[in-house]
Amino acid sequence: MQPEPYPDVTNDEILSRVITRSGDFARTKGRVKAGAFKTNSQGISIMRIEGLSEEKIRKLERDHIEKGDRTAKARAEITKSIIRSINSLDAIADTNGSYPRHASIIGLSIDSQQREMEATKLAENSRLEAY
Amino acid sequence: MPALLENQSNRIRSTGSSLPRGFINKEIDTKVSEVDDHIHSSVSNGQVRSIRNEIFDVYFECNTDNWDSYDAKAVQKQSVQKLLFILDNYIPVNLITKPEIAPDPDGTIGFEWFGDKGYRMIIIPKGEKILYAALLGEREFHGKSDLGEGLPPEVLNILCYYFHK
Repeated sequence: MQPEPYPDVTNDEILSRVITRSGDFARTKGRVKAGAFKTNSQGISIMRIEGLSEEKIRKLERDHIEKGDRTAKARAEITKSIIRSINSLDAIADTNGSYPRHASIIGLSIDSQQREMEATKLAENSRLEAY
Repeated sequence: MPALLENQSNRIRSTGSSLPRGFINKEIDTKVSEVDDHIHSSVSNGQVRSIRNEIFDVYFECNTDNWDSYDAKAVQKQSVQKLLFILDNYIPVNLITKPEIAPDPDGTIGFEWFGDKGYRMIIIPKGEKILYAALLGEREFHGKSDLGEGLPPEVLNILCYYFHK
């Protein structure tokens, strides 16, 4: 039996970028830094957390993000509609079988200046949830 | 135009988008003209030392692969050296707020400033270039210059105007 395809990411769906480095956010100011949205690959890995309890979100983070002594310190929440308002970015469900609630921000610029700007805008427009 | 700005504008060709004409006003010129004095003052030296320590802290935190859990490359020594060079030679630390140290998953490391109203600026060495990007409300500014030639006057103006102490 074929597995159900992952549903498309909706515009107002809450998406999360898990932050494992405490230097990538400022807890007291409630601010996400650009570093939280920088990546060494072609897409930014994010998690679909819409409708999940805090407990389930944390479990997803433990199962799929945390490695060794790198634990989740915070998450940056953002919606697809905001992502799509930034340059050519978009958010899509991961169809490559990583895990069902995995998604990616795609459309990153190949130009390093533009890429810095994209990370900065994503950070500025996301909401910090620190642990 | 102050000597520092005049010298830099003669030497540097910025590839970034330009701010509107008239942005460089007298107040900013006055501030930026003090940059040379402050960069080498004893007061600045203490602040430079503090920033250097933070650069090393971040380097030791991020000098192994996968420091961000998303397959980041280890921060490279050469990038640290270039950032220290930028700090020692181009950043008017006495005039502006202290930068945050921002490692990049590609193995580089840079500075990030935060100002009022969500103003942000990043300066990061990439290869033999200095890359800069600023988000100033609705306005964006970005570009790059040669590492050996310093920061363009527009960048110094932005630092002194939006991220001043």
